[in-house]
Amino acid sequence: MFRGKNKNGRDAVPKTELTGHMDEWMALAVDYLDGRLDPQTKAAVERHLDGCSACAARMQAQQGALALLQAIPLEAAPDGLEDRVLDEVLFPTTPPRTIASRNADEASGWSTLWRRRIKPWVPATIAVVAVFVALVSYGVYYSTASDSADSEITTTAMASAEPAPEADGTHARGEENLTAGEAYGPAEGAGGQGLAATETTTAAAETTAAPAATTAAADVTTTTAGATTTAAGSVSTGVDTVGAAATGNGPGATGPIETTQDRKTMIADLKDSEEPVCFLLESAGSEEGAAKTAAANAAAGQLTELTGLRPLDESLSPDEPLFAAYVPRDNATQLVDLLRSIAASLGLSVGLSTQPHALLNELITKLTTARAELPELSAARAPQPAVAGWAFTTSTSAVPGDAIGSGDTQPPAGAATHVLVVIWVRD
Amino acid sequence: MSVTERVADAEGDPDATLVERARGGDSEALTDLYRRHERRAYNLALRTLGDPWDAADVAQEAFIKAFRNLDSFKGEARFGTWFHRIVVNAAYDHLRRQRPEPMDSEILDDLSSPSGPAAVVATGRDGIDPAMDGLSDPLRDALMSLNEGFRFAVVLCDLLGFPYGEAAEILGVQEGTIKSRIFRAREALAAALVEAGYELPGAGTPDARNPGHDDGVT
Repeated sequence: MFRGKNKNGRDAVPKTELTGHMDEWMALAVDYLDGRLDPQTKAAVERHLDGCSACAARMQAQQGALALLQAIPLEAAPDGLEDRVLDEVLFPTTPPRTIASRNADEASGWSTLWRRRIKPWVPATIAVVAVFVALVSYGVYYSTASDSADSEITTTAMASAEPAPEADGTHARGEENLTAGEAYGPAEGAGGQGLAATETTTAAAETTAAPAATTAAADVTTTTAGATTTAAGSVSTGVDTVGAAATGNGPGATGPIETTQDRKTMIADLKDSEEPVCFLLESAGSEEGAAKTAAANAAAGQLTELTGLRPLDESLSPDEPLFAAYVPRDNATQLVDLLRSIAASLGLSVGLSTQPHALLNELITKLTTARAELPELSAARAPQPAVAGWAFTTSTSAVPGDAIGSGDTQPPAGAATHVLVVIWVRD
Repeated sequence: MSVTERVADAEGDPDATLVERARGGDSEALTDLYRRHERRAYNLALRTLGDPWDAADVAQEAFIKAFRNLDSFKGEARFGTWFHRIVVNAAYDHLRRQRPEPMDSEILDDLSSPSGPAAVVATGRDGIDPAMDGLSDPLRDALMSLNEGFRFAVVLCDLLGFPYGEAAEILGVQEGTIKSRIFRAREALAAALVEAGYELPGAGTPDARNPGHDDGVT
């Protein structure tokens, strides 16, 4: 800069004196303030400033203005900006239509390993399940003890020993068996042994997966012992509705279900929640009852189409389509985006509730009891040519088995990699 | 954050991996990319436009444009440079449009459609308190009184800490031009503030206080 500034056409030799006043060497003045001049040039600047009060005053003004500008804090971007940007980029105006068509010819999409509806629990199942109801009713934790994994296997096997009531169920089990075999190696229950054998395969898969899951647990947020109904503390990330719910509605309140609708917060909540979380897809606007129901049904249909997830049995669901699955916390973003895209295409709103609420509590207690029956829903990324063609093309991924299980009589030290997610389409 | 970025700077663009992943359809990478640049992009728009609402609109527009055109980012410049050029262009466009108020007809159209009012609110006006842009009136006025070219330079360098070289790339001028612009801008700012009865911070020792002159990202 100094060299280039030489107006006399002389060569770039370090100078010991400056020519003219500050206007002649503005760049030097800037560098001087930054402390970037070599000692010689710096000395030359200082000599000039010592002898020229006008330039000294200007340098002072420079410094004052610079200090002022640097002291200006960076403002936080407004809430909602991220949502608007990412919503627009990720699913602009043609949400699941492209996704669905892409999805149709691949056995992909958000996939459920166990594509069966939850049967009403038969007493035999309950008898076994009841052994560990108490252990899982507060959330989804890792199994750390091998004997608890055993008991779970037993449970699964017992549950499956019930006759399959529909052809549909049988078909689904066939898929299961295949997937489990692919994911975990040779299936033991090959051929001819009927449904119980199929389930043995699944159980084996769970056992295999358990050590990996336990390892992963070390990375996850530690929960304190007795952290049972205190999820609100960890999930209220400053969103007003959440805060309001925490103060206004105690556990078991029956008022409206408070939800978080901000994308960023939903993702964070899903990743961190120690409790099952509930997504509510609700009609946002003023439509009449029939239109609402149609939108709800369409949403449920899309959800099934895109994920393979099926609505829960009526005995669990409050007359409206209800889905439940274990979702890897790592897939929080994908799930939230998927739901938002479905909602956007149908004019519904998506909210996430982690607040205690009588309706949800009851539901979740039931689901947690039956957790061995619940599918895993996970996303896998398939390469896309361009961002413009953004879509949720996913493939079947293996269930990490016992990762969703619970174990000890003591609350375990780590939260699971998976979180139980309930998706409730309300009309 | 800036420590890792500085380390990464030595080897190239710290955003390169994220861009690559985002192009491949990774929405999480896209989200990270967004978050890494959100604050500076918003503040660049805020301090050059002087209005939080306009700034949110412009930042949103720039992000969407950049993310939709990630494929046209060739990696010749750093992603941050490329992206902030988009922000600057969006801000310039906005200044040229100079729409202080939404057109009346637009509002009427919006209100007559079923989702109208919600749409108006949802596109950029929520979550912003216009009274809270963090600047005293004289300082904002002084900044806004600068000629655009000077304002963009001084906001990029002195306020956001972009290195002169990168600011030059973003604005499409020579580095020497950047320096003379920020010199002039500071001088004009100081004069405007003194005239407004504002007291400038006292003199200190010259040093490398400008935070961004050796590393790009703060």
